[in-house]
Formats: sequence, C-alpha cells, structure tokens
Amino acid sequence: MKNKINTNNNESIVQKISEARVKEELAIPIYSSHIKQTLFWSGLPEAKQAKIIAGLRILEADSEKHVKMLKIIEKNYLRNSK
Amino acid sequence: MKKKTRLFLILVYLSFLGLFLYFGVRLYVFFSNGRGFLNLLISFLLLLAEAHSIIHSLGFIISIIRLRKPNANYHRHAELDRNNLPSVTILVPARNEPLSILELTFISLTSLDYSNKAIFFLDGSDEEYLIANRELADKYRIGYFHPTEKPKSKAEIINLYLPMVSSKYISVFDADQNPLPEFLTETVGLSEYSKNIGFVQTPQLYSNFNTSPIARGAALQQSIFYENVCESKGRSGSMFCCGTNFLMKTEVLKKVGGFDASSVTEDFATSVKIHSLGYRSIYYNHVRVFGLAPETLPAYLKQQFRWSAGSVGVLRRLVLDSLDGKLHLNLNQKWEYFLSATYYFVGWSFFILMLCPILYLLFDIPSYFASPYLYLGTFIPYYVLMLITFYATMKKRNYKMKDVFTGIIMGSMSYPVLIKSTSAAILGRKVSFEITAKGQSGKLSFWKLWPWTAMIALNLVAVSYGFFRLSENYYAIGINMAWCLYHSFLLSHIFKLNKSPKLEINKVLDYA
Repeated sequence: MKNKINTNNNESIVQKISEARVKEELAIPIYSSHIKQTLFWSGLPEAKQAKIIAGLRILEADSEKHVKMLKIIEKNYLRNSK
Repeated sequence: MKKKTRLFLILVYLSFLGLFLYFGVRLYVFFSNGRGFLNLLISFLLLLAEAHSIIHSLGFIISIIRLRKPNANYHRHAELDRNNLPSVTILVPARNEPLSILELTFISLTSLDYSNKAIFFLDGSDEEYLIANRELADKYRIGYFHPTEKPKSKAEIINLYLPMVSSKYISVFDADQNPLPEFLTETVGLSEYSKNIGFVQTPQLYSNFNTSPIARGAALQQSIFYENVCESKGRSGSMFCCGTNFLMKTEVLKKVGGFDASSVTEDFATSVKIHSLGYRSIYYNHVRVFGLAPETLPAYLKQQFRWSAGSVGVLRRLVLDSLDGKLHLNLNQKWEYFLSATYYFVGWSFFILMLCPILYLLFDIPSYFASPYLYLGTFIPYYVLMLITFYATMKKRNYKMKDVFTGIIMGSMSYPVLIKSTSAAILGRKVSFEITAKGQSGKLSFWKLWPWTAMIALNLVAVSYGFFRLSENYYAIGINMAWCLYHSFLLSHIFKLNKSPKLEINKVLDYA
C-alpha cells in the first residue's frame, strides 16, 4: 500500500536527494582535485602521499556509483510520488 | 626540551643579538660619517631601508618566540546543536569573473555541511555578464543581488546588501574560493564560544601553483604568510580580516558601519575598527578553503599594488587616529598592525639597498661602504643568522631552500609597483581598484619591463666600472660588485616569471 505523501515533505526529500547528488557528482571531484594538487606541501613521505591519492581514487569511483544510485532513487521517488 | 628545539632557540636568540649589534653599529657609523650633503642623504636613506628590514626581522623573531609556547585557550569550540544552528548568510561578491570559476565556488558553497545557511551572489559585473551570472545562480538555488548603482569595490557591494542581512553571521568568499564541507560548523563553533569574538579568519591555500611560475611563487608567499605570520598574529589577538574565507558576527560589522569602503583593503581597515571596539579575532590555522593564485605577472603585480596601497593607506589613518587618541588597541595589536601596514615599504627598502652598491662603485657614495669591519663583524653574522633562522622555521613546515629563495625573488620583483602604490597612499591619492582576473592569459610587453631592465643595466654598468677600479680597494669594490651581480641575478627572474599560464583555469580541476 502506498503511503500518502505530504507535498512539503515530498519537495524537501527531492531537494535533499538532489543536493546529495550535486555533492557526489560535482563537489567531491573539486575537493579531491584541490587535495591532490596541494598534497606535496603536507610534508608526508612520498609513499604515504601515493597511498592517499590511491584512496582518493577509490572514493571518486565510489562517488560515481553513488551518483548513479541517487539518480535512480530520484527517478523512482518522483515516479512513485505522482 | 629536545636537543633540536634547544638548538633552534639558541639560533633564534643569536639572531636577536646579531640584529641589535648590527643596528647599533649602523647607527654609530651613520652619526660618525658626515662628509657632504649627498653622502649624508644616501647614508640616511640606507639607514631607513636597513631599519625597515631590521624591524621586520625583529617582528619575525618575536613571532617565532610567541609560537614556541602552546596556547591551550586559543581554539575553544562551543558545542553546536545540529537542530538549532545559528543562521549564516554567505556572500560571494564578484565582478566580471569567468563562469567556470564561479560555478566551482557555487558548488562548494551549496555543499557546505550546514543546514541554516543562505547563499547570495553579489554581482557587481558589467551588463554583458549579468544574464549568464543570474542563470548560474538560479541553477544552484543561490540568491542573486545586482545593485542598481554600480559599486566601485567589494566593500561597497557588501555594504549595499548588508541592511538586508538578518542572520547572526555573515561569511564572505571571493569568487575563486572553494570551501570544504566543514567550514561553517568549525568556524561557527569557534565564534559561538564567546560573545566577544568578532570574526574568525581561516587561511587561503592556492592550489593552482602548477599553472605558472607566478602562481607557484604567489602560492608559496601566501603559505608563508598564513602559516607563520597569521598564526602569530592570532595568538596575540591581532589577526586582521583578509577579505575572504572568514565568518563575522553581523551585529559587529553593522556596529562599525559595514566594511570601510574608503580603503582598497577594506578588510584590513575594518579589522582595526573591530579591534578598537574591544572585539577579539580568531585565526583558525586549518586549511578549509582552496583558492586560486594570480597566474600572470600583470595579475600578480595588480594584486600587490592593491594590497600595498591599502595597507599603507591604513597606516596613515592609524597614525592620525593615534594622535587624536581615537585608536583603542593594546600594545600587541599596535605592534602587529604597524608591522602589517609598513611591510610594503619593502619595495623602497629593496630599491635603496640595490642603489647603494651602484652609487658606491660609480661615485664612492656612501663612503663608509669601504669599511671591511662593518661587513665581516656585524652585517655577515646578522644576515647569515637571520637566513638560517628563517630557513629553519620554514623547514619545520616542510619547505625547501629553493622555496625560501623563490619567496625572496617574489618579494624583490614587485619593487617598482610597491614604490608607486605606497607613494600614492602616503600622499593620500586615490588608487584604482580592480579584482584580479583569473584564467586570463597575459604578460607584460618588453617595454613595460623597463624598471627591471634599467636596473639590471645600471647594475651591470656599475660592475664593469668597478672591475676597472678593482685595484683601488679590492675588498670594498669586490663586495659591492658581488651585490650588484646578486641584484641583477634576482631581477633577471622577471623574464622567467613573465610567461602566460600553462593551462586554462577551467581545465586545472579536470586533470585527475
């Protein structure tokens, strides 16, 4: 049975999903790019820096998956709430 | 105490001693050297130039000593209730900035992990930019404000918007600054700790240093400033607002009548007023915002011009207010503001220090340059100790010798611009203000480089003339020739720095 959805709640949920998608899709690449470019100033040994960059790459890949998932959630939610 | 720390402290105190010894000897030499008007005039100018460098070296030593002691009370956070966060209005004042740069900033701002925020784009751009700017703001659900009257500066556009702000805090970001999600939670937490805190300033870290030698040098200069100088100012309660990446209590800003639009460094001038009212400032020395450095020589020089004119302009007012008894700052704050406001006389100082060996080689002025005792007994120990202390401090923060040298080159490079801007500021003349354009290629034409090329040529003429006179006084002429060659070498970097950036700015963040 479908739950009755409050319009205000509905809008705010859609907005929250959209914000989460923007963060995953657009903001995370900005942060990780800045961090990669300035990491050499951290004074960490090169091996550790390489490890951090590898970690950032994994997070970026995860982020791409999250974007796909959030798009599906957004689409399904909008379809079900109509 | 660790052996390394002990050695470092001994070095610092030796530098302190060397500095006083050298200045004492310099004063003695000046007063006992009175042959002819020109000789006296040049000696006096040289004394002023050296006094500038000595005072700022002293400021540096004091800051090292200050930073040695941990300050447990400095960074105290208040616990924030996530469901009842104080309201923050984020302002992005900008004029004619590329959309690609604005978009990165808008994305970062909307992604700030803080629910009670409102973001406003204060657009002071020309007509042709407005439609696209508004569309971009709408795309990210950012409020848009374009005043009917064209603002002349960043301060003016913020002041025009300020009456509409009802939130507890305002936070300002330049168009090219990208904050990390935790920026507001951390700065609001710090500010909420006490009613007496007027603003919280965080550092700027330039991440585009690979785009050009200028960007790299500017990034390095900026890091030295934010990591050491600002940390020390923060500890002494005299950190000033840097115009971007800060959080300020709206009530405090309104109390001082908004940003001081009469100064091109409105942030610096406004900080004096806030401190004068007895409010404290916090410097939160953690990188929470990434930004972009000027990438071309014209952009870098324009930025230096604005900062120097503004700082010296504030110095003029500080002196006048001090005489009128209107300046209510404590001794630490007065000292730190004095250092910040006089720093940009470094252009004059460098110019005079460059001119003196030339004058000595060509005209034997100033005559006391012939004294070997001055150099070997006092100047060399002072100079070497200061350099080692500076390098040791930088090494602690993972900088290399090459980086320190780059800092010296960048500092010397701006001398013609600093002379022009500080002269205008002392005379109270208005100087034009333009926000440094990012992402635009550009370099100075060969003819516009004349102040540097003329000085190099003059140095080389002096060296050639000195070479023929070498037998007259091997020691004095040799030393002065060495200085001329060193100065020519420093100045010759202008040709290396005057290059267009490697990458377009919108591609910089796309390299991964």
